[in-house]
Amino acid sequence: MKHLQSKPVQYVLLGLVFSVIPYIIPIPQSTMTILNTVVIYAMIALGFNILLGYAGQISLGHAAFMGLGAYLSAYLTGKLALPFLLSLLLSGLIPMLIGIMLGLIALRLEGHYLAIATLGFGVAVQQIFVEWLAFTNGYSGVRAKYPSIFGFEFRSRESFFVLAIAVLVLLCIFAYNLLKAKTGRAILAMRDSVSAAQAMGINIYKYKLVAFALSAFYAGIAGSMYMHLIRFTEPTQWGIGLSLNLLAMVVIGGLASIGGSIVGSVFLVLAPEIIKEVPGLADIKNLSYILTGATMVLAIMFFPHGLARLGMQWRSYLSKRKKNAAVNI
Amino acid sequence: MNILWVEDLSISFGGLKAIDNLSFAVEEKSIYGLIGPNGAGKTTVFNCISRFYTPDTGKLLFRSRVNGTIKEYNLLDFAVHQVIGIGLARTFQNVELFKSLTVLENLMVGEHIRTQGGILSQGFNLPKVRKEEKRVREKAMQVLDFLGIAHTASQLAVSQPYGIQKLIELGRALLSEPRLLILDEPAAGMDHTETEELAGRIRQIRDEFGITIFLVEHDMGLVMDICEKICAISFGKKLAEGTPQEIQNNPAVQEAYLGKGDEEYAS
Amino acid sequence: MEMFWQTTIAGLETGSLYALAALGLVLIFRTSDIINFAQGDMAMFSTFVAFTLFNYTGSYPVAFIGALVFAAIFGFLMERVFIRPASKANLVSKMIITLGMIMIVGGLAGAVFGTDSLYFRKALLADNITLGGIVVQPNALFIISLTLVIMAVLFYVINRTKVGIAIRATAQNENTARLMGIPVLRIYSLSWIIATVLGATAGILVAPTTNVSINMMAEIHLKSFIATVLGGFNSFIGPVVGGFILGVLDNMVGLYISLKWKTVIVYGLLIIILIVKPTGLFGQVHRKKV
Repeated sequence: MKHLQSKPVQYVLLGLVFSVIPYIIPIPQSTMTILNTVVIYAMIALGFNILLGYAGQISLGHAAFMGLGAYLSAYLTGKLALPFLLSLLLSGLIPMLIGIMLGLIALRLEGHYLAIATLGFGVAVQQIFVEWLAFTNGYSGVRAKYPSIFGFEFRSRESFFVLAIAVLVLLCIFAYNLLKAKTGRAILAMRDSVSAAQAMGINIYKYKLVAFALSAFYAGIAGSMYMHLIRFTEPTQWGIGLSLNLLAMVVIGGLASIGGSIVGSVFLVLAPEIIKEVPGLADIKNLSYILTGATMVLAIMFFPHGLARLGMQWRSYLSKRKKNAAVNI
Repeated sequence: MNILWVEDLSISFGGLKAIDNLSFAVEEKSIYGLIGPNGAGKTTVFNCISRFYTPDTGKLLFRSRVNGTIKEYNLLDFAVHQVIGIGLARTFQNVELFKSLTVLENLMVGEHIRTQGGILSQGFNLPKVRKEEKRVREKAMQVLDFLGIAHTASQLAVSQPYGIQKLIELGRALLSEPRLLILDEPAAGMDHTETEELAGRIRQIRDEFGITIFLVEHDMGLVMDICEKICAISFGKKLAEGTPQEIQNNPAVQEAYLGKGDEEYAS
Repeated sequence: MEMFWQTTIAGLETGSLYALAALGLVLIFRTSDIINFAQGDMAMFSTFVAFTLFNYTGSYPVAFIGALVFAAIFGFLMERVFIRPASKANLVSKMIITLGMIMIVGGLAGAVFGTDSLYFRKALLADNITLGGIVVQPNALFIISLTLVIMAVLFYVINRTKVGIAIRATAQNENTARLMGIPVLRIYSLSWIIATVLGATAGILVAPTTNVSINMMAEIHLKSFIATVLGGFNSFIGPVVGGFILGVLDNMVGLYISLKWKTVIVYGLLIIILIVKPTGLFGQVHRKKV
């Protein structure tokens, strides 16, 4: 029974349950695509949360890492005909290496320099996607195959869902383990008191780099998975809008929380779908974009722990009120 | 042997010379105090030694006796996060705890540089990492025991009363097995009883572990009570260096700092 | 040789716009310690207002001035509604709020004004003149001189008036400024108003080149950041100079090296600055107190 207390075990069990549901209850194909997208966004949100929520660094260019992962995976499984799993790994590693190079330069400086450097990075990389025809085919876009592991091809949305959940669970467990160990303590220490962290031997620069590299790796993996779900991509998908949505996912869902990353991706993917259903609202253009921005601002101002820990915030608010009331007697 | 050697230390902020050609030496295994009126530059001295600041001029030498051999380090060659590795740990005036971590985890950070296991090992929770976590946790519990606050281990550090927070910070520094422990106003915010307890604890740390203590304090009672040697500064300049007796009787120090209210300590 | 001079003038023209935007950015940064990432979208919104006014009244001056008045009110409101309540928050939270503002303002612009790309006339409609073989657009000269005039006025205000001292004091040390009786909150509002008006000016002046659309300010927006890094975040004149330098450089790279890789190359320049001298041409390194 004690094993059930361990978070990694819970992740695996939840994953198993969710991956089986589509085989029991029939779900329409369009909804399956939405669910798959939620899982993929959760992957990148997870990594981004380590960077923003734990290490407290803002990046405005993570769409570029995800796009890189997507284009890389298409190229590696396509032109180079590499096996899917290897391509998936490389689609995480190569953006990670590029992220490390960017981080080496920008992370030595104060936070707003990283925001600017990544803002420019996102714009520059998107421009490269447009112009480097040999690699990306420009606006015409690029196609990719279904993922296949040891001969089994994941053709159906349901089977892809199982694969995506498996990858997400692995990423969750890795993140959880890392955060529970020395690295997690170092990153949280760094966030809470830079001076004390340094005095205790924590190299701030190194750990910012670790967080940045990890977030780029997760983004690349998500990009690769996305490529093999939708099987087509072109440069306009990888712009500042996506980077902002990523930020919103993590802030709204809950900073510094693995569950929060998932809640955030659910919110981001479902909100536009729900708006589409409401008559009247559906006619207002860009409403979901506006609402996401507004929710993010409200979250920072009023519920900084995000939706995932709304319960906790409510409880601590209630207990503060009780304390004040007691004092006033 | 002098564990810390400060020579002609000077640093300016903008146009203001915060420390002016300060020299003093701390003897190994002693309890040494730095006193001075507000704004004298005491915390600045600490920040130079612990490498948060880089002085404009001066020598900062650290000598560490490990297993019989003496190693000498030029502190200016080390970055702020490297000094703990050579045996120099510090606490902060405004207790700088890690709010998101429990008391135990706060202490575990003190073992950071010695904790084995790279990113991949941690991520996959390999046996090596699990063993290390256990070892560090036990070491931290031992120190918590020593300080008498083992019962707070799994609580959040930030929710502890002030006196215990100070002990947590002390414990965190102790975990790194320092040769020199720098305490920045350890008695700040403590009442008379707590200060007496602290004095006893500082002596105990020095006697049992052979750690040199270098402290900055306003509380004259504590300083005169436990320090074997004191350096008094004012406006960044050295006034006098000597035993508590010598310092109390020094007219320059009396004029700058002691004043009438502390006559009870003058014996 | 003619191409060189023409490109230089074109560079000074775009540089003027970068300078306007960069000054607005650094004004807000130095007084209220926030990077207003939403500046580009706010300028875009104001430009749409100018466009709409022009369609209704047919008068360019009315549209221009009207949009600037709108921008002043817009900047004031944004600061009051979004920034003021969060003044005690940490740096990252404040940045996130301005990023959320991008989504709100940008989304609203699309919803209210539509997603088309609309043509807006130049400020000065005179024909091109030729000086010594170089073709010069009077409009370009207008933009450059207008920018120089605005800069001269602003720098006079900042350096020679009481308001300017208040701004500089708040920029240097907010708490001390408060203690000295400076109405710091009003300085916040003032800097936001000025910055938004500067952004709107840049937007209206660039509209003929980019057309009025949701993404029209994207290029100027990014370049204003690069100009500020180049010039130095801790100075007012730095970003302005940086803007002009960047404008000329940008156009030169486009002419002599490659038009399609221009943005990537200029971004490479940003990276080089960050490696070599991150505090910028005019920035100083401050020793921080721990």
